[in-house]
Amino acid sequence: MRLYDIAYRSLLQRKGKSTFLIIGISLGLITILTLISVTQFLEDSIDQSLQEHGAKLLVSPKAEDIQLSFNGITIAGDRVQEHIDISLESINKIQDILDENTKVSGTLIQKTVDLGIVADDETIIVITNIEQEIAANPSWAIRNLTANTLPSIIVGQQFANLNHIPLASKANELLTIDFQSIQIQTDNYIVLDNQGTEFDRLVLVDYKLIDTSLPINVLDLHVKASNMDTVSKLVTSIENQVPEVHASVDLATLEARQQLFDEFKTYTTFTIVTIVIVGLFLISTTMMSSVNERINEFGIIRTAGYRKKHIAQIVLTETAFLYLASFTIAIIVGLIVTNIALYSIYGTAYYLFIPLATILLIGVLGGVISLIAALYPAMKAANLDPIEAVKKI
Amino acid sequence: MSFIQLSNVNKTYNLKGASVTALQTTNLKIAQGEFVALMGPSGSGKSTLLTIMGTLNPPSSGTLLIDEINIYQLNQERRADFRYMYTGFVFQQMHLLNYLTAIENVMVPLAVSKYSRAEQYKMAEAVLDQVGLLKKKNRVPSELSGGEQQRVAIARAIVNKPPIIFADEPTGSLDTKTGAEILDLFKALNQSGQTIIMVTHNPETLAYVSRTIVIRDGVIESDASQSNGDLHSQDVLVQGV
Repeated sequence: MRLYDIAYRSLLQRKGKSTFLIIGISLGLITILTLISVTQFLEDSIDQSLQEHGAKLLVSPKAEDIQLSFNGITIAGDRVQEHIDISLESINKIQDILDENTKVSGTLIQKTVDLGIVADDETIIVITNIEQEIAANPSWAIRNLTANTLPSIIVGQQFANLNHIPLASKANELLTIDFQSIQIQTDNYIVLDNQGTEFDRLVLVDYKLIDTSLPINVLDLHVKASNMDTVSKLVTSIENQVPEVHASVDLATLEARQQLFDEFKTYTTFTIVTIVIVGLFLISTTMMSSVNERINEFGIIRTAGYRKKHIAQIVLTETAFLYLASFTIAIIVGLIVTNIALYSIYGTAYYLFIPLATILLIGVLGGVISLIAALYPAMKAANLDPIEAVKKI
Repeated sequence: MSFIQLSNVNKTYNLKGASVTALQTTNLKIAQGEFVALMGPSGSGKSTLLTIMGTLNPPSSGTLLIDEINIYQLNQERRADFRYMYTGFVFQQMHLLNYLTAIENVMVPLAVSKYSRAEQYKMAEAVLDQVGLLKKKNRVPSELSGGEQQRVAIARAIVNKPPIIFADEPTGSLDTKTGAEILDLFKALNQSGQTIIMVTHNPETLAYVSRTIVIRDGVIESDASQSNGDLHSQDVLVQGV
């Protein structure tokens, strides 16, 4: 016979109360596990997207008045035609920042963004390196290209539809582009599938079609980083070291998910704090009620020579047993609930998610919280005056 | 040589602001191996005296020496250790732990000892045999009669071989026949050398004890030694003042 035998057998005796407490603690732990796991999955998923698809940083000249919007950012300048450019020195500095930053890898695409006329309609024309653009935008799903089949022009689908530009180029049907004093005619173009972005309204022209060297007014940085924080630091670094430019992150979906994640995280934190407080009271009051019911029992064993610490040990051991049972149930049910929740959110993008670190964290913290909650009932039981307990017999 | 010695022990309780004297300047010496009955009307202070001697109830003043140890100079934890080594308690209501079997109940005091499980089991079996309940060792209290439960309670009190057993009306809830069996058991324990101090209202107890102390209004009224059930001598050691 050991103290933990007494604790264990006592719990078996009080099946109703023990079951009630186990269910209560389990529900709390399941909720905490599910919330933390979903949050963690969201965070991992955002970071994974960032690593796989990268984030896009747009760098433009800094100026007061704004005339032209391009891909979610604004191109500055009194008039676009005045070509407020990014100097070569700034471009080199930015390239150096990118090269020196070991936490990110990426491509810097230099662009000239200007107004022009394509198929008799005024639009924004982006002179860029088409090969780099295709490589940096895997979501465009332009595949099976060789150096010979690389298009010279990419037309956004919305613009193509509005101007009746055929989806596939045909021989002898030339696309005419006029901008500044340059005119280009070519049949080597493709129409981009609908992207749901500003690219749908743009026309990208490969810089090789232009003989003259044009001033650069937009830098497109496609970076791959492990998390959002690294990207934000890169933006700050560029703006601090190259004050004549404005840098911003174009994250579109990622940013929206990050915002959702932040809101979910706040909700999770609030819920966890609530559960912990309720759990503390639940354990404390249940164990307190158990102690009050067993004053005689504690009195008898005090007369048998039990020290205060032995009585406290019995109450704490009972709590530990209850917690272990609750934790085991919570982990099994929690993992099932978590994975069902993730599957319903992510569908095919879901994978079996077992957050070992979270389980360990919940295990340790939950155990500590349970013991803290049981401390007062344990101390009360230990401090029962044996004569008062015996008087009740 | 006295084994238990109370000197000038007083006990007062505060009840709703009023001071109530439970025991007045009590002096008492009990030798090892005595079987003492504490008698007196309800509220006379006999249970207070028992719990003071049982190291559970510090007196308001005075000292208690057991085996030359000044008990109430020990802190609570040391007193608990003392109880483990020196005392066993039996109460009118047996208060066995109803979720444990008879043998497990007997092993309860040993749970804080250094004995192995096997040693504990052997010790518990031995005392259950002594009280005649070995065959029912695996029964839970609800499967035992009142007398059997009291035997288990006695086995629990003696399992760690304490030199003193305190009993508070152990036959109070039993029928006459079962009560007599329990008293036989106490007598046997006493004959094996254990000091027994028993609070009782049962006059039949007098046939078993070696000494009877009568308390009234917190004062020892009489203290008489006897043998073979007859009053042997009236030897009031100390009269409460």
